Amino acid sequence: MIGKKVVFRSRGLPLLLLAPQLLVILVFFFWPAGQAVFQAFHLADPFGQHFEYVGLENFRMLFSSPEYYDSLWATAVFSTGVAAVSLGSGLLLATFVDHIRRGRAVYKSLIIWPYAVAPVLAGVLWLFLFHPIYGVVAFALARGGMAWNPLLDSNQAMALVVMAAAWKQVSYNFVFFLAGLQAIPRSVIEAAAIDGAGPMYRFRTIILPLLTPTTFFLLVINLVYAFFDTFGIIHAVTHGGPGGATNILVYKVFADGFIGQDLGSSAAQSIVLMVIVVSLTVLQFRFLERKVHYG
Amino acid sequence: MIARRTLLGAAGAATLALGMAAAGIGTASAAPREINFWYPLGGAIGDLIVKMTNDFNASQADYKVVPQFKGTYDETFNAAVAAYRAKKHPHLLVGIGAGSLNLMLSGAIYPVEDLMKDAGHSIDWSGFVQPVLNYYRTPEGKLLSLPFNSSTPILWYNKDALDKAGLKEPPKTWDQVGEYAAKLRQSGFECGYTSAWQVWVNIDNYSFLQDVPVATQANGMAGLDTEFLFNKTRVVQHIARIQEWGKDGRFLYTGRAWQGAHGAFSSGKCAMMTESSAGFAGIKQAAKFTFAASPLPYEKDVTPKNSLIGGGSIWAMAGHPKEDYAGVAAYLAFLTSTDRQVEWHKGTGYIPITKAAYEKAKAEGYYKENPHQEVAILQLSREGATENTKAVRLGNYVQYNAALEDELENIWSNKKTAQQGLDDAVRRGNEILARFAQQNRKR
Repeated sequence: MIGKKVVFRSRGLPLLLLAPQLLVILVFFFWPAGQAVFQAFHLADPFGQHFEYVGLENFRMLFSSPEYYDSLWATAVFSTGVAAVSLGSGLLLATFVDHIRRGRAVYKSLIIWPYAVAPVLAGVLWLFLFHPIYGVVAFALARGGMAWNPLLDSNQAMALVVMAAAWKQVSYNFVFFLAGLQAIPRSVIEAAAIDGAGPMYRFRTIILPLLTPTTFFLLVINLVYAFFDTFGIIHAVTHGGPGGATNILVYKVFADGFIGQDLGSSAAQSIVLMVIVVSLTVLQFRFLERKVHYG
Repeated sequence: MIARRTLLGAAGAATLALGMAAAGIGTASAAPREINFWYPLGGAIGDLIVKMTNDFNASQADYKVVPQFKGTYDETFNAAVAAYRAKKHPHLLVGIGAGSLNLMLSGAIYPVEDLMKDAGHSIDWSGFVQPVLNYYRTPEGKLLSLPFNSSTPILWYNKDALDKAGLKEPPKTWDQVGEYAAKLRQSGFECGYTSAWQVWVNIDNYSFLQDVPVATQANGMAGLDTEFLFNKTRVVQHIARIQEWGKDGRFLYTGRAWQGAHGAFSSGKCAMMTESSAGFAGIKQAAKFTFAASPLPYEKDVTPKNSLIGGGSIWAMAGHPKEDYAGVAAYLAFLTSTDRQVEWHKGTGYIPITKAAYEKAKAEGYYKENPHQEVAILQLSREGATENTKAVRLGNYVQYNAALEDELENIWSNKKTAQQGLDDAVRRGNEILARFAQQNRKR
């Protein structure tokens, strides 16, 4: 017997204590999710005048459309890109700030700022910098001789939305990485330094392994962010274009449902998206978590 | 238990009081009835809506129209849909013309013709510009919504740029647009031609002027089971031609909607732009050169037909108390009065919807000073309209339009040929139309 086990005498009390939380989950998660499942099998008009059961038709339409597979691929590229860029920059900045002695609070505050910006505004901001017609940075790029045109170049458009989405998430990663770095005992690093390990070697063999719990947690959070929270950025920057190149799954859910008012298809898409994210998370926990050192 | 009952009673009384207030019972008649009006027109145009509405509110004491800018057309429509489902929808809503069919069949509207009649306003509809009115009529001829911000695309050009390139007259045909663009490039301009609203201009309106169908069932006017046809008409060569221009800078793609095209035109980057006549207010504000407008170009072997109307109209939404609709009718009558129409036309570049307003502006000599303001009117009222040139009335506009924009982008980026891109656009568009037909087949 390790630790103490609390035993409730009746069944009622634990249920009562759990009830508020369960109620919140029920109302804000299971109810809407249930509605989505219901809608996915129906065809409805936006005004709520017509409602018809269509079986698997909404799903059949999705999987018979070549554009949907393009969207899956775009999502894979986008979320990998966002996770890589935002984790990489977050770690880099955290490492720098960890070494800074003066003005650390100022750097911290400045790096945390972007997190407070709403996704749509972040998108608009990046658009005003990089729009080929009226963007300031785009103007400089064109002056410098670069053919910058995310309106037609799919790769550039993808790079632009990845940057915009990652920029917003860097702050979050930064905070966690910084906390992780500060939890690493100085004595271990100092001992390694005395034994002659250089900074890069120390980073690779001591700091990174000790950061794996943080990294793993952030990887999951970042992927969930890229999969679910980024439609506002896409909407502001590319509208899913050019030619569907940045039409990631969650943007398609949003565009078909909340702009196009096709609730049935949108609900079906949200279920597919949910299945994908849940399986990804399960896979991560099964295979990646084994490599995590919890110290 | 007693406490609980009292509480319930109080809540009940409060609800009753609220209900009475909402129904206008027991409130003093001093407060004017509020009429909510949602519209998607910002900037200078939105300012004019507010100004005219304030004039209306000041002109009488019974009603107070509350104008609210709700974002883009899509955002405004979606806000109204959500509000309708929550029974908090506005009395009046400006909807995009191309999206009319969804509202027509929504069951959520109060046909404007009925509304005016029920409220005791006798309107002489024959005094209105008929092609504009017909766009919003049922096949039986009932007017469902009031044309408000009606426009049509024309060719805006930078006159200084054309002069510099030695071009005296604006181009009339599409081939000339290509030649002009090449000369403009030689004289130092980065781009010759760009377009706002590319689907509306280069698919819909191109089809109208050349008298070819956009879709089956007379472009959807005759029935719900429709399919797109533009991958089998001259549109294909037209798009292929613009694709060619894109390869050497004669054409520059500046994005969806209008913002990019306006930026490129007003900054002097592109010397020619096809854009709505209502682009006037924005161009006037931003352009630092002499600009002018001419009719939309056409093919040299045709006599061009009338162009297609764009912009939007005012829909009255159903489900409000009868007394409110009297105010709605008074407001609409106010907006269609000759003076207001002239003011609206001059301030925005939207066309006047009554013949009297057009005649008045003409008599004032307005078109002598602003010839570009008459281009759209003349282009819309060309004689000899056919089945192909009445309107485009198709369901799920927002969705099919996005699919068409997608595929045009794939053509401009040379991922697909014009034929491949338009075939894909038609395939994707047809699926969206079929879904709409399925949703509405019982009507």
